[in-house]
Amino acid sequence: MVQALVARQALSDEELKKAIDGCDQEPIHIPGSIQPHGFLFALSDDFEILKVSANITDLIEGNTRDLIGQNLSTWITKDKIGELRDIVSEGSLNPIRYTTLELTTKKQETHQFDAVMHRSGEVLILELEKHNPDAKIVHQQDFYQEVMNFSVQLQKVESQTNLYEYLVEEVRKITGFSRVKLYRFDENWNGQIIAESKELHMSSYLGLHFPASDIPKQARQLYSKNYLRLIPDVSFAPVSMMPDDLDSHKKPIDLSFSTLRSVSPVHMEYLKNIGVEASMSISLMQNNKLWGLVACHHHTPYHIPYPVRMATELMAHTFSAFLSNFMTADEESEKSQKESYMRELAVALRPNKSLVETLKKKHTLILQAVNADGVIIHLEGKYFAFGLIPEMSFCHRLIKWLEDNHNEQVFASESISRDTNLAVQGQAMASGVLAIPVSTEMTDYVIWFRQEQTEEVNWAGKPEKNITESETGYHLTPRASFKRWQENIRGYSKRWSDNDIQAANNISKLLLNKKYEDTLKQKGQDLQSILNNSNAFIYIIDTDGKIMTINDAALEAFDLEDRAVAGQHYKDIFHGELAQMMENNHAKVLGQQKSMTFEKDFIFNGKEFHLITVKFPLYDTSGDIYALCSMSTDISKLRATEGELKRSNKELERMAFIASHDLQEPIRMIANFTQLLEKEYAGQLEGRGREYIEFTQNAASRMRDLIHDLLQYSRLNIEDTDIPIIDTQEELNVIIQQAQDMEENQNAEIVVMNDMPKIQMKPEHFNSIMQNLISNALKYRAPERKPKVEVSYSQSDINHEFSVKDNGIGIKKEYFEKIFIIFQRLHKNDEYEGTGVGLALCQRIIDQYNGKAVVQSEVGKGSAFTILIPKNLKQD
Amino acid sequence: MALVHHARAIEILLVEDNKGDVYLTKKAFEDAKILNNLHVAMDGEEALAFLNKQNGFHDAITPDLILLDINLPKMSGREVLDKIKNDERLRRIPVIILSSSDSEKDIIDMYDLHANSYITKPVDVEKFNEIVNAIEDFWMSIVILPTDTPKG
Repeated sequence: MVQALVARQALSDEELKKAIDGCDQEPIHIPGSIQPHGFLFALSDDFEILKVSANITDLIEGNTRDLIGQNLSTWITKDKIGELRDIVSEGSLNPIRYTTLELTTKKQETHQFDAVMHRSGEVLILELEKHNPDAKIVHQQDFYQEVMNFSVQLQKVESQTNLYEYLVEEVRKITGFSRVKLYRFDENWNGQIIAESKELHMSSYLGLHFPASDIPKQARQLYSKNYLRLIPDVSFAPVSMMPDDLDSHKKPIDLSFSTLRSVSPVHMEYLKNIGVEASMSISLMQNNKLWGLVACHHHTPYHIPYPVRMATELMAHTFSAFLSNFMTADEESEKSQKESYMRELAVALRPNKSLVETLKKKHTLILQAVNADGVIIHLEGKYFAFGLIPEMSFCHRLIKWLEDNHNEQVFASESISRDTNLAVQGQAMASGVLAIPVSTEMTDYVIWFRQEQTEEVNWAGKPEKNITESETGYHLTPRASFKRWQENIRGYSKRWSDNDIQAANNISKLLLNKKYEDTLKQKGQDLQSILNNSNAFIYIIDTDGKIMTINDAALEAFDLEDRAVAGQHYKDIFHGELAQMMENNHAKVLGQQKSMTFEKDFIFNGKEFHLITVKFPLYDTSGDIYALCSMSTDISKLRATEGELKRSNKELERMAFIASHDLQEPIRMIANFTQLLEKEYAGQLEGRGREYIEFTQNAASRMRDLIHDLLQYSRLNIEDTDIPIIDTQEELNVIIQQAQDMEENQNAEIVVMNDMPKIQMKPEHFNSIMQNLISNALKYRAPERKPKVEVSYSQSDINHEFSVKDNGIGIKKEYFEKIFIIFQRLHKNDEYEGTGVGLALCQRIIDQYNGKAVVQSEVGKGSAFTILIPKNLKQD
Repeated sequence: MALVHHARAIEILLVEDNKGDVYLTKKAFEDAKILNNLHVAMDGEEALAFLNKQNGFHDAITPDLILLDINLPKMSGREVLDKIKNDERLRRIPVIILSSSDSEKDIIDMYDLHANSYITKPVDVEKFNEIVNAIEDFWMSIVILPTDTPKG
C-alpha cells in the first residue's frame, strides 16, 4: 500500500490538487500538432484533404494551403486508392488499419510509407511513416513467428514474476530498446516498476515507486484507448496541423488514436530529465482497466517501424490474457481456501454447538479466512478476543465510534489513524481494521485487526520537489532525477482485499445466523418445556387442520402412542361427534379471529372428559393467521367437587330443616306445659315461681320464632318446580294489608309509588322478600316521626328492580354487608325484636334467582333496599 | 245409600308418640261438648294394628275419626295415611293430620294423600281447645257418612 504522500511534504492538499488538476486538464488528445517522424492527413470519405501536417511540404512542393481541398489520388495510384476505399467502406477502421503505401511526388519521386488509417469523428485520419528498410523485422512472417514463439513460451511460465520478466525480456529483444520496464499501477494509480530488462551498464529502476501524478488522468485515459505510444525523439519540434484550428474555426481534431500525436511538454521534460531520448509505452489491460504499462526507453532517438510496434502490442495483449489467467487462478485458489475455512466454520457452528465454545476452538479459522492477525467479537454485550488485538479500551472506543459514525455494513480501513480520529495506542496492533456488524441494530460487531506493515517505499526521485509555482498557480514540473528516495510508511497495514471483505461478510452472516438460530432454539426449548410441563392438553393445528404440535399431557390424556400424530389431520385422530365439535369450534375461532372459550363433555376411547378449552389463532410475522392453538383444562375434578359441594349443601339444608323441624316439638311441649303449669298452679306458686314461669314462656316463645324462621330459611329451594308468572301488584296488596292490620303499624303509611309488574317468580319468594323488607322498614322506625314506607318499581334491560324505602333509623355503612348474614343482628331484642334471619332469607332467595340486593342508607334518615331480579331466569 | 245419624260417642283414634301431646289432646277432648272415646296408638304400626284389629287389638273398635301425627317412629304418619287411604275398608274414615309443621309443602303433600284435614299443633294450650272445637265442627259437618262405616 503506497499513498501519494507528495501532498504532505511541500504543499497543502488543496494546492497539490490544483497542480494535479492543472496537469489533469491539459487537453493532450487535441494538441493540434504531431511529432515530425511522419505525415498526417485529415480526409473526407472521398479522400479530399481537409487538413494536413505542415511538414507535408518536405514531401510535396508548394504551399500547404494549396493542398487543402485536393484529392489524395493526385499522389497515389488508382489501385491503392481503390484498396483504401475498400478499407473505408468496410468501416472497420477501429482499431487502426495498417497498410503500406507509395506516394509519388510531382517530381516523379516515389516514397514508400507505412500507412495507418483510422476514423476520428467525421474525418478519416491517414498517417504515414517512412518505410525503414533497415528495421529488424520487415516481413510479416517474421513478426508472426516472433509472436508465435512468445505465446508458446508464455504458456510455460510458472509464476507471475517470471511472466513479468519474460515479457520485458521479449519486448526488449523484439524492439531493441535499451530499457524495458513493467510498470504496474496500484489502486491509487501510483506506479511501481515490477520487472525490468536493460542494458547491463544502466542503473536499475526495479522496485521504484512513481507517484500517480507522473501519469495524469487524461494520459491514463488515452492509454486505455490507444494501446501503443511511440516517441522516437523526445527533442522533436512539434509539427502543426494546417490550417490550424483557430483559422478554420472548426472543432479541433481528436487525435486520441493517432500514432503521431504530439506529446505534452511536461512529459517530454520528464523523459529528458531521466536521460531518455526515445520512448514507447504499451498499455496492459485487466478487466477493461489499465493495469500497467510496458515502458520502453532508449538513450538515443530511436524509431521502430509500425509492424514491429504491432507485433509488440500483440505480445502485450497476449501477456495480459495470460496474466488474467494467473490472477484468476491465484484468486480462485485464495477463494477456495477461504471457502474451505468457511465450510469448516459453518460445520462448527451447527445448531447443537455452543457459540462460545465454537469461537474458542475455531477462532483461527475466523482469522485465517480474513488474513487477519486478531479479532474481537462483540456479541450481546460480551467480548471474545482472539489473536493480536489492541487494548480493550481502544476496542470499546472503536465500537462506539462505529456506532456513532458508521452507517454502512462494512468498515474497512488499512490505516485506522488516517480514517478515524481515534488515538491508537500500540498502533502496530491495529493499523488495519475491518468491522462488520452482526446485528441489524449495528450494536454487535466482529472486528478484525491487522498489524502495521512497515514499508520502505523507494520513490523514483523525491516527490515534493516536483511542483513549482508560476503566475498562473502551481504546475507539476517533472522531477529532475529518479534518484532513489526512500520513505518509511507507518500506520498502515496490508490492504483488505475484496476477498477478505467477502470472507468477513460471510463470517458475520454465519455468526448472525448462529445467534438467531440459538435464540430461536432457546425459545423453542422454553416453549417445549412449557408445553410438556403443562397440565393442560395443548395442540396446535395449521389452518388445514394438520397437527403441528401436541404436548405430552394431551398425548397421555387421549392415549396417543407417540408424536407421530404430529403432521396428521386432527380428524384422523378424533372422530365422530368430537371431531365435529372441534371443527365447529375451530371455524368459529378462525372466523371471528379471536380467542374463544368452550366447555365440553365428551367420551373418547371410553374415557370421560370434562374440558374447558381456550382456542385462539396464531399469527405469522406478516400478521396472517397460520395456525390455531387449543389449550384444554380437565375440569372433571372441579365438576366432582362442585357436585360434592352441592350434595353437602343439600345435606346441610336437610339437616337444618330436620333439626329445626324436630325442635318444634319439644319447644311446643315446653310452651304448652309451662302454660298449663301457670294456668292450673299459678295460685300455689310464690312470686319468684311465677316469674320463672314467665321467663320460661318468653324463652320458649323466642325459640319458637327462631326455629320457625330457620325452618323457612332452610326450606328454600327453587330447583324442583316451575316458576310461575305472578302479579306483584296483587301480592303486594295482600302484604301491605297484612302489615297495616297489625296493631303497632296503625299510624304507619305504606305507599306503592307506581305500577307493579308481572314477573316470573315463586309467589312465596316474592312475598317473603317484600314482607321482610316492609316489616323491617316499619320495625326500625325512628321514634320521633311517623313511619313511612315507599315501595317502587323500575326496570333495566335485564332486571326488575323493586325498592323499599323508609324514613327509619338508617344503617351505618359498615353494617351494609353484615345485615345479610343469618342470625346477625344490630340491635338487642328488647330494642327491636327479631331473629336475624329475615334479610338472610331475602338474600338467599335473591341468590337463587341470580339477583342482587343493594342497600342505601343514611343513619337518622332512613334506608332503601333495592332488589334486582333478572328478567330471564337461568335455572341450573 | 241411607244416611244414618249417630247419637253415640265418637270413636277417635289418636296416633301420637309424644306423651305430652297425648295428654294435652286427651285433656282437651275431656272438656269437649261432644261425647267421645279417645283411643291412642303410640306409633304407626300400632295404629295400623288397631285399625286392622290385629296383634292384641282384636276387640278394637273401628274409629270414626283418626287424628294422625306425621312424625312417628317406625312408620311415619305419611305411610300410615297412605295405607289407610289405599285400604278399601278404611279409606272412608276421615283423617285429620296433626303436625308441628306449617310448611305449605307438607300440607299439600298430605292433602295429595287424601288427608281430610290438616291442623298445625298449637303452641298455646288454649289453642288445643280451639282445635277440639274445630274437630267437633268438622265432625258435625261430616256426620252424614256412608252407612257401612263405624259399627260398635
